[in-house]
Amino acid sequence: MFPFAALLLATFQQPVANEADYYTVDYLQPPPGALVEVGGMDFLPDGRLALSTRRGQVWIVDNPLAADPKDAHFQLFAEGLQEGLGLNVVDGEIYVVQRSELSRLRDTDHDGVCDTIETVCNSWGVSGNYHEFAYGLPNDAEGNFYVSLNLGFTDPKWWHGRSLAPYRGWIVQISKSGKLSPYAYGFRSPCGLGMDDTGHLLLTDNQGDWEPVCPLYYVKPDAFHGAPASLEWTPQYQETKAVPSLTNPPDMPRVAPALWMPYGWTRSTGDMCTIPRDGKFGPFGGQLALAEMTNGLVLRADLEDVRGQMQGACMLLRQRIGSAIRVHFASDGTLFTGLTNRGWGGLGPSAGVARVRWNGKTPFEIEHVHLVQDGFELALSEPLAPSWKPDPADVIATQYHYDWWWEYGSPERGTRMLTGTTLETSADRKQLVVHFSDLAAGEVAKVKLSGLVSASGQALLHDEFAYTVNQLPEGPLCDTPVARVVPPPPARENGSEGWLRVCYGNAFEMWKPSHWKLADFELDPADPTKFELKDGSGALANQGVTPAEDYVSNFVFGDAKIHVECALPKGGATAVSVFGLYDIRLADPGDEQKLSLSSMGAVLPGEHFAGSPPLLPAFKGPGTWHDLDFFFRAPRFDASGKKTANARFERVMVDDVLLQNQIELTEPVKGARGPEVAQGPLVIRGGLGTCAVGGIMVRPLDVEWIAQGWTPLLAPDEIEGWKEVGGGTWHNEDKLLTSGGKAGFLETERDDYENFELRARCKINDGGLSGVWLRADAPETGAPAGYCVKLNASHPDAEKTGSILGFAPRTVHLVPQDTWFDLVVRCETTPEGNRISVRINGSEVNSALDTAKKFTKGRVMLEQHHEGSVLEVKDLAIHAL
Amino acid sequence: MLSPILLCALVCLAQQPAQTPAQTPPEPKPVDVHAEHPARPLFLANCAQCHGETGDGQGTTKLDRQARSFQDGGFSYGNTPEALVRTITYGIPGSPMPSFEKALALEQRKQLAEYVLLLGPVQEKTDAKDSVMVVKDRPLVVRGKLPPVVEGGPEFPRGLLIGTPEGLSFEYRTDDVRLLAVRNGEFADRADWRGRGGDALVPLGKTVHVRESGSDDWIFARFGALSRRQMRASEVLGGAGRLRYELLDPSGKHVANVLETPTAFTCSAGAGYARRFEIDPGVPDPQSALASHEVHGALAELKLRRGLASPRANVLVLEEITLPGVLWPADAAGQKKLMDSFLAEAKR
Repeated sequence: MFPFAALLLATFQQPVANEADYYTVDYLQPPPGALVEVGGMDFLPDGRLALSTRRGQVWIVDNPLAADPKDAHFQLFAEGLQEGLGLNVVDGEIYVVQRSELSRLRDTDHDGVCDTIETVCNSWGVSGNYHEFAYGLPNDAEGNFYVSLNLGFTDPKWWHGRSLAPYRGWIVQISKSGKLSPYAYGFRSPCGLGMDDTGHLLLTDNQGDWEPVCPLYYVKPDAFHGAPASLEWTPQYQETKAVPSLTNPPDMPRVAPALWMPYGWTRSTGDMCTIPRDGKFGPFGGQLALAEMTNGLVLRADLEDVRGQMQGACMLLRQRIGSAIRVHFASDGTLFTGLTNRGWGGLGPSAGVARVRWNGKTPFEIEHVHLVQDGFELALSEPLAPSWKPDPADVIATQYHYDWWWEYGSPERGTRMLTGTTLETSADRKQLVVHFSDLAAGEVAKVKLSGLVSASGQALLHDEFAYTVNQLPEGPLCDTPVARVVPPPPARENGSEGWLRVCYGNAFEMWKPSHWKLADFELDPADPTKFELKDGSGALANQGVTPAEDYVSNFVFGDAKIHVECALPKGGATAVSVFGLYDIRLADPGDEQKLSLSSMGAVLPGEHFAGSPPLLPAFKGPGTWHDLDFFFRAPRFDASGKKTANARFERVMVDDVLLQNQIELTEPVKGARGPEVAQGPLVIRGGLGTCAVGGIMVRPLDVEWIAQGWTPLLAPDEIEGWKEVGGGTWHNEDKLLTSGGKAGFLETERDDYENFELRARCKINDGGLSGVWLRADAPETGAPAGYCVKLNASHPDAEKTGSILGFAPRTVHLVPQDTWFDLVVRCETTPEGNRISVRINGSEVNSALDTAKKFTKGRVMLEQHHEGSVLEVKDLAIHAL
Repeated sequence: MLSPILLCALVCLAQQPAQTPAQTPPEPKPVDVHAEHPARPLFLANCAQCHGETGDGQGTTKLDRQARSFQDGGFSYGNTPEALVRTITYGIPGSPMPSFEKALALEQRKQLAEYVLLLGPVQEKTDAKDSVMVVKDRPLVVRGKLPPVVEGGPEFPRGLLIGTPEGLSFEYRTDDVRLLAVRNGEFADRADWRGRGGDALVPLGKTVHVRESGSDDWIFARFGALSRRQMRASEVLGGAGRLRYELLDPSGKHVANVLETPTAFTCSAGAGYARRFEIDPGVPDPQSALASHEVHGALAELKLRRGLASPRANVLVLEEITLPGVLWPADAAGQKKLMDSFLAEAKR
């Protein structure tokens, strides 16, 4: 809520106050062509200003306080740093925090240019994720520096911040000798790390997942501040190898921020600086000025201690400055504001340094807000006009709270008008007290006052404040946080997207023939080393299969995420083997407590490769199902076939406990046959012991959908080039094609598609049935002609998605209903016959050869089978072979 | 911060298929060898045997890949006169193009650069990109994320490049201060200056040498089992870019300080690079020297490793000089002559 609206209303009744009447703004002038995207600022002992920038430069500005900004000269001191989002001058030395190191910059040969960049500390975690900024750079009385580390954001679920390397999402402390210690955690994008003038460490975080709006914290060491991803590096999580949930709130106490700042005022808060107590910046000495990038302004925070909890009011201070990320007061009271917004967005100017100065004229402001049990005592900078009469109708006050959840930000929740408003003024008319009958703790109170006029005839410059009421001064302590735990909203997309369920509905179709059995099982009560198998379809078991056989898939993949469920009898064992070359053992370790290569979750060794025992025990007992989840990265080869990168297991977990991380597989497992390859099958070992597996799913990763060479078949908003045949209706809008109506087809007008690959993202609904027809035609009467790849998840028809009608059924339920999947169909005449092959989610799942070469060319058609069936299609494209 | 939604949207926008205009092949034009140009005799004497009398790349010397055709107008490192002078002066390490620094005076090299450009098509002015970092007269050290050195390899989140005015750049992984690769040509494009940042640097030079892991064991193995090398500082002093780091034992205890200075090295045998190590404390070893050559097809990698006299007691000074790829003579006498001249110049 911008005060501009209030100002507009006020014009009809009141004098209007204008910030520019009290605070001037001008801009330093960097050299032409220099883009000074400020990341850090501090003054040198001789009064020059040192600036670090996001482009890794350090500039020194001579005469920064010059009345005419043209007289403040920039000189390039250093370049080549990797960002520089914090700068501090300590004992005359320039320290800059880069993305990967805290550095001290020196000019040892005194030629005015930095010649030595010393690494003070480079030991915090960086995974290489683009979002891993490092911010700073306050230091305490002992000379320790503080640096805050951003989380990473990954595809495809960019809305979940992740802590991909040690201490991402933490504040770390770095001693003068460069020793790093973890300091506090639970942060997301902690852009504004600073200190007030009494040495308190303060931090602003930025709205996003787990951050309803931007908070301001008094940082509490060794405490959790609210964003869960960074919990991974706490001793507790490290010992149990638990992985913080991306969606479920952890059950642990959180530090309450001193402020939750209203979204309308700040969306990307930067750092803060104490307003000079000597009055050189106007009446707010001792309070905080905060930088705000998106709205391009500076806010003010007036904080107090209420029963041990820091909290208080925030208000606007000066707007229309530019994308402010850093604020720093000079000794003469000038507020230097560092600007940048590249890649982040915000009100321009988007680079450079602004100087905000108070012109000596005192604005009429709410100087100080003090919480009382039923309201607020407001200290005004000027006395109220004698003619002004307090009127409760001039007060609009609400309270609200937020949701603490994984969704990006939270709206204000539970907004209620405060009632029973009364007002009183002090005798000197410089204090106004507002009372309410229902002021509560655990909520933010937003109070707006209209119509106040000072004795000198001025209107309030800023007529609204937001006070975070963590606690009231009296009564029982409130244990409800302002950002409240709520049931997590549903996951952003169906968790099945991208997966292939390769045993669902038909456990054998995607696998090479073998004697493994489909059955339900229990432990044999007479002999727990055996299963008792019964009729059923709950598991695939190798019990009694002699000679022992591996279960080998007949589909292949490269990089993939893999899920296998496994149960073992007493003493049972198996291994999940990727390509038959790289094995993860799943076994009952028996009485052996020590973790070894025989344990559950061990990576098995090769001839020279040592293998890797798991980090923790994971076997939960005979007969119990275990969920194995891991990422596999296939080896890489150059054009001549020489291996250039080893295969890797990344994040191997059993039942969500991390057992292996980043294991480089320098060679295949001992006894494996065959060379290393870029793609291969999934293998379940049958020769290590008895086991039962099920629920096997494979998700090929990094499957590229490049645009080049592909011709879209559908325009974004119409079906031009296509014709409706029969009773189906086809609606194409905003790049999404949706089917409806009775049976029919949507066919291309062109009827000469011959050898091609066709791709699309598809979704079929519950009970729906459809098909993609190739080299096809749909006559007005009679059956359609052509090859058909069927799309069916839950319709009774036995042929499911991926079936090639009349040639090769797929009764396995590879993809569920109402779930997007990637489909690529290849249609090609070969000397042996017409070959149709189907890839789903990146892996070839079916192929057929029509030796009779029945259809030589034709249209592409999409089928609407019956009323109630809904097919959705995106990104339909074709490329001729 | 701005919602990652916008980044996704920006990425989606960026993925619109590019429209490539239809192109017609350029018409062939008669070759003008500019016979009156003062550099023509120089060209015939020094360049034509590989690059051909008309600069068409069809010289008489047997090479395992064709020499540059100047008529096409494209050059390894850009078509500015400065880039050409530098290439003529320092050569192209890893290729048969030698250094003419000793053979020709600067003025002669400038004339040749000008002449060679005349053999090609009329040049368009190319715009300098805002994010390209250029090494001018003093070395430049830049820190950033390094892309894979070979395709399919890993990125290195902590890295740095030292660029020299001779056009060489040395790429180090800073977690363990390991030299990964040496390049020649332009320096680096700061791709992380675009968007939000965080992208890898793009080293612009052509890779002339990829260092194998363990290739520095001859220096450090004498200090026993080491946990790692800890980066301490980068410096640009006395016209050289250099790195200071600390050797630590497995328990993290200090073993020694190292000053490593990588520089360009040229001699009549070819172009390459040198690295000097000052290790304190260390036992000086000025008598040791080991020369080697490794032949790959028509080229050979020449290497000299030796101890040098120390400026102070208890400081070990070592030097490694590498020519990554010189034309290897077919006959034994020629090979010996080449090695002898390399060693003579390297040891000076």
